[in-house]
Order: sequence, then structure tokens, then C-alpha cells
Amino acid sequence: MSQVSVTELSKELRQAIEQLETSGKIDEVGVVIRIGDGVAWVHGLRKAGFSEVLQIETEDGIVEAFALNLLEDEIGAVLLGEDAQVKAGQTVRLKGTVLDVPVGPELLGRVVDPLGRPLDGGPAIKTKARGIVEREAAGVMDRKSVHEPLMTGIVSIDAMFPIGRGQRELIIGDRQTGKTALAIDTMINQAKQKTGVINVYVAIGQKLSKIARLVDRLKHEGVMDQTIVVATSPSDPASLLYLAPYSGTAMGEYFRDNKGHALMIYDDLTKHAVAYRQMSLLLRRPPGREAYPGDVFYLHSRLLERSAKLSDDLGAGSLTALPIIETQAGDISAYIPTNVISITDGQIFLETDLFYQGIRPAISAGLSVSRVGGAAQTKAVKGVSGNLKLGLSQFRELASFTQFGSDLDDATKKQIDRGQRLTELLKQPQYQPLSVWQQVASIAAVTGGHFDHIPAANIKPAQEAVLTKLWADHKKAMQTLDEGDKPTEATEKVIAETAKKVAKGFED
Amino acid sequence: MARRLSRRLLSTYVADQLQAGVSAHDVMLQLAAYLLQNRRLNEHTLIVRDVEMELARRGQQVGSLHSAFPLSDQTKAAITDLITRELDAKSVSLDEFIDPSLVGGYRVDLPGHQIDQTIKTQLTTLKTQFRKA
Amino acid sequence: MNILHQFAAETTAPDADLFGALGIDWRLLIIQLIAFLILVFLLGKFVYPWLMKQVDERQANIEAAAKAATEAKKAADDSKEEVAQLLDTARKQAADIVDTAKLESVEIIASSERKAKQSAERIVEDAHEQIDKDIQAAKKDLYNETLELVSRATEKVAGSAISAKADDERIAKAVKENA
Repeated sequence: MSQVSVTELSKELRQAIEQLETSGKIDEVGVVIRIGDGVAWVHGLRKAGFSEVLQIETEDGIVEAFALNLLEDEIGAVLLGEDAQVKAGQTVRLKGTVLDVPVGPELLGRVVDPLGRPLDGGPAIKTKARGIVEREAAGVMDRKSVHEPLMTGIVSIDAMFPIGRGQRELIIGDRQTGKTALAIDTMINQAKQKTGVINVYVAIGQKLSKIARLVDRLKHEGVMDQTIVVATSPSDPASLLYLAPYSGTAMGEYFRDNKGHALMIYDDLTKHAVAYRQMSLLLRRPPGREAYPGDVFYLHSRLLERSAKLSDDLGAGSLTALPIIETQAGDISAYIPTNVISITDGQIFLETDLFYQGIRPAISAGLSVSRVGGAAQTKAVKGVSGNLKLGLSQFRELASFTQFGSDLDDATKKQIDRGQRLTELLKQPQYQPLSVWQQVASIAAVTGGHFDHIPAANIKPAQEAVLTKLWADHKKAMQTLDEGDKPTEATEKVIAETAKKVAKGFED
Repeated sequence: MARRLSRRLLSTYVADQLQAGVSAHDVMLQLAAYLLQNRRLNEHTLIVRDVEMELARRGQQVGSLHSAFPLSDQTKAAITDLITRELDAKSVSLDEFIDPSLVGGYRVDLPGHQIDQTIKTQLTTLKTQFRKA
Repeated sequence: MNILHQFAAETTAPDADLFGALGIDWRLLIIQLIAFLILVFLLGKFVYPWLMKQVDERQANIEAAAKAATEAKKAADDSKEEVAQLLDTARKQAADIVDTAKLESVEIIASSERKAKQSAERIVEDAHEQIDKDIQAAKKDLYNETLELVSRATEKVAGSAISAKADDERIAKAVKENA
């Protein structure tokens, strides 16, 4: 436990006083001519560059802003702090750098704002490196195709819409459909399976209570040690909400560029677009469709292009992105959703109807897709997922018949029963991601028909029982299966037998 | 509809006129008339700043010198030399102001530039920039 | 009948030597033979088939009954075997189910213990963290306050301590350094 040391305090004060020197040189300065709504209009500073940091000298210290509108007569700079202390007539200087944030492993386990300042009450963050917030994406030759899986631990995703390292997979749905829950489970799975993937969770305009709960949950699950949380609340200036995803990406790129793997979660980009719209309107930029500025596509495309799988020459690191978009009344054909869908490599669509039917995660198997697909899927899961997809698609076609209860032939009834069992299998409680062997065993048990005589309501308990028994009796085989390779015939046999045995206990 | 002339263009015109020898009074009258006609009177202070900056860019530095105590002639000359050298100025004209609240040191305000070596600024910097957030 | 008797009486006298010696009336014999043949024919056509049919049916029933009896016996034997097998399987499955249930209960207990322990450890860790944070915050406040006091004091003291001459010299030196 640290003590309050007077010697240390006095040393710090002396250091501060010594550092206090003025250069005596002639500095280029500007003056604030107008201030309002988080935007300061500055006269002078004709050498200012785009996105360069300006320092406004107020009575309470320096307030930073960055230049976004470079006009002939004045500069429109968006404030990075509160505008309460900024007054017209105050002096403005150029910092001489573009916006950058501290990056590095020192940030792990911390909750920071988009400028890298700690929000968790901990000590100030001192990093060796700084990363530029607005950076160009890797070129074509610097990349490699996505081929390594990123296991989310959620059966429906890993089996049917597998995500690879370096992919951008959009999570889209109405409010309260479990979008953030999916992202959290993915983060928890990285810690549980010890994949070594660093999580960067960017909260854009999220309630502080929600962020606090999320951080608590991550600590509880032991994930916080490999997570960075970049947090902004709805009460923060729009400039911070605008910068948050870019800052977070700069922090993730550090790991990508140093042979590591990172996972970015942007929660959510709808609020990001709204904040950018607010800033653009206040900067007097012409509004376009739905009052968004004309470059709202570029806003997201340049962000998501930075998520990539690098070539072996550059260290083979990767940055995977899971952007989240909130739709209104399930309308995925609105402006921002269609923009982001066209940028990402697939989407996971969450439906309100499925959620209220009790199917959670409420993933719509019909509308969701992963454009990388099998190339990034573990072989073990790939082997069993074909039957799963087929069973579910057949069930979807026949789903309407179950409502009528008409006389059906045996084959149809069988397909419907199988589909109901598969749907039941895909339900998964929150914060309980499954490992590779658990997913393979569960899917194989159902698609192999061993659970056909178990009522749908007992499928989940039966699944748990099978997994417990397999782990107890055949631990070594399951550990081998967990490595991801295609299961041997012996392993498949073991799974089938165990499933058959256990199923007897749950039949009617 | 006539294009709106930017302040930079207007200030360039004014500077050209002044350097050509046109009397300041006539130029200002012309400028005032233009502003009035185009309902841009509220920009007059900004245009004055722009004209100062344009003239400074052409070597005519006009500014103010602030200090806590009256400065000796040698010191003032040294300051003027510094400005001439650093900004490549042809002429430097500084208005002097005594402000005891500066505590010590001096400050020179020029169009688009500043030298601030006042003790007051240093103390404010100590109070504000070295604070732990 | 009278005709037959008459035919028989008439014919006896002339042929009395052979058949008479034997006591056989050959006309009566022929009639009896014809009557017998008629009887045989009638029996053969009407009675015999029906009789045979009855006998055959009876035979068939007996055979069927015998066969059914054999099959019933076989079925009984089979089902006995099947029942024995089912009982065996059921016993094995029951044992498996009990095993699994035991395993699950052990796992649940172990898991709850683990969670409780982790929870306790986390509470202690959080408490330590909070104390550390409070100390850091106190240090920070003290530092900031001292900074404020130092600058205010300097402002007041320097304001009265500095003379115009000293200030001028200082400024001249600073300007010279920047030359």
C-alpha cells in the first residue's frame, strides 16, 4: 500500500518548477474570434494543417482543439474539452503535432477517454509509444487473406457465420436485442480460451452506468487484464465521441503492428454517425441525406479499413473489428446501416421477434452472413456445421407448417423435430461461451440424431450432461479435439456413444 | 450575384493601396463603404486584423509591448532588433503599455505572432499545466 | 319287383343244371350286380367326395393347431429372452444415469466452491485497489493545492520584491540569449 511521502511530493513540485521555462522565441499565434457549441473559430494560424492540434490558453489552463475546417479567413476547431472556459480573444497556439494518443501494453486493464486520460481513478498512464489517431490503412501488398479463426464461443456464430482474425463482422439489430452481449461473450471467450487476443472495447455515447457494469463483468470473468476500454458518455463533447473509435483503433493497431492480435468492438457506430453529424452541422458543412454530411460513408470506411490481417513480412498480426449498429424497427435498409453493411465482411442480424420468443442469442440464420466463411473456421467445427446449417434451413422452410398442425408425412415431421432441437441447442446463456470441443460435441450429438427422442425442453440439460460426462471420461480426447483439427473416427464414436447413453436419461 | 469577397482578399487590396501611397483615410473610407453596402459591418475588427497581418507579411510590423515596469531604451531597441531579425521586418512599430499585474518580464503582441516572457504567464502555466488531472 | 321275381322264376327251370347245382340264380346275380354298381356310382359321386372333404378339413385343422402351438411356444421363449435383455439394458442405463448425475453434482459443488473463492478474493482485491486509489487521489489534491499556493505566493512576493532596474536587466539578458 502506498504512503503519502512529503519528500516525493516536494521532488515533483521542484521538477515542475524547473520545467517551467519559456523559450523567448516568437511563436505563431491566433485568436479565438467566436466560440459556441463546442466549436471555436480562430483567426490567424495560417500554417495550421488539417486535424492539427491547437492549444487555447484559458484562465484555467490549456484547452486543446483540433482544426477541422480550414477556411480562407478562419479556422473551425472542434474543442476536445469543455467550452465553458474558452472565451473570444484568447490566444491560440499550434501544438505542432496531429492528434495522437498513448498506445502500448500499459493501457491494458484501464478505462480511458479518447485522449488516453484515465477514467478509472487509477494513476496517469505513461506509455513509451504514441499512436496517431487518424492513420492510413495498410496497403494491398501489406495484407494477407483471413485464414485464422477468431472463436467467439457462441455456437451459432462459430458454426454458421465463422469470424476470422482480420475480418470486419457487423452486429446489427434493434435496441435490447443482445448486440453488446454478443460482443462481451466474444471478449470473455478470448480470456477463457487463452487465445492471447487483446480486446479493445470502444463505448461511443454509452451510459456510464452501462460501462461501469460492463467493466465489473469483465473483471469478474478475469478478462479485464487483456482489455482496454475507451469510454465516452452522452454528456461528453461530440468531438470526443467522434474521436473515440479512431483512438481505440490506434491502440489496437499497436498490437497488430507488433505481431499481436487485437479485437476491436465499436459500440455503437450509429451514435458515432450522429455525433459526427452534430459536429458537421455546427461547422456549417452542407447537410446531405437525413442531415448527415456528405462524407459519412468515409467516416466509417476509413475506420474499418484499418482492421486487417497483415502479411508475414509485417509480422502477421491482425486487427479484427466487430462494429455494432442499432436499427430502428428492424430497418436494415436505412442510410447508416446500409453504408456499414457494404463496408464490412458480413453481418450478424439480431431480431426482436426471436429475442422475445426466447431464442437468445437472437441470431437470424437467414439474414446473417459471413463473407469469409469456411476459410476462417476451425476444421473441427466445420465438419459438423454443414449438417447444422442444412437442418436449420430445412426447418425454416417448414416452420410455417408447425403453426397449422396439419397432417404431415413422417419425413416432414422428422425435419421439423430435428429443426426444433437444433434451435434449442443454439440457445446459449450469457457469459458462458463454449470451447471448440464443447461446440463440436454438442452439435454432433444433435445432428447425429442421438437426441431425437428427447423433448425440446430437455435438450439444454442433456447437452450439459453430455459435456460433463465427456470431460470426465474422455478428457484427453476432448483436449485433442479442442486443438481444432478434424475429429478422428474414434473421437466421433466416443461422442456418439456418450450422447446415446446420456440421452436415455432425458427421454420422455 | 457577385461573389462574396473573403477578408483575406479585401485586406490584400487595402495593403496594396496603402503601400502604393494612397492615403489611409481614403482607403478606410472605401473599405467602410464596401462593408456597409454588403452588410458586413460586424466584420470590421476582423478585417483590421487581416490588414495588419497582411502588412506584417510585407514587412511592416505594428504591435504592442507590455511590461510591468518601464523599460530602458536599450532594452526596447534590443527587442525591436529581435523582431526585425526573426520576422524579416522592414519596419517595427510598438506601442508601449505598463501593466503591473504582469509582475515582471515583457510581452510583445504582433499580428499573428507573440513573444511572452511575463512572470504572470509562467505562474499561470505552473498553476494550470502542471496540475494533475 | 314282380317283374323281377317273374323274370327270376321263369329263368330258373331251364338252366337248373350248373347254377342250380351251385344254388346261384344268374339273373338275380346280374340284377344285384347292377344294383351294386348303381350304389357304388352314387356313393362315389355324392358321398365319397363330401366325406373326404370333411376328413381333409379335419386333418388340416389338426395340423394348424399343432403348428400354432409350436409357434406360440417359440414366441413365448423369444419374448422371455427379450424381456431379460431389456431388463439388462435398463439396469445398465440406470447405472449410467446415476453415474452422470453424481458427476454433475460433484462438478456443480466444485464449481460453486471455486466461484465463491474467486468472489471472496475479488472483494479483497477491490478493497485494496480502492484504498490505493483514495491515497492517489489525496496525493493528487495535495500536490495541486500546493502548486496553487506556490504560484500565488510567488505572485505576491515577486510583485513587491522586483525593482524596475532588475526587471529591465533580466529582460535584456533574455533578449540577448535569444539573439
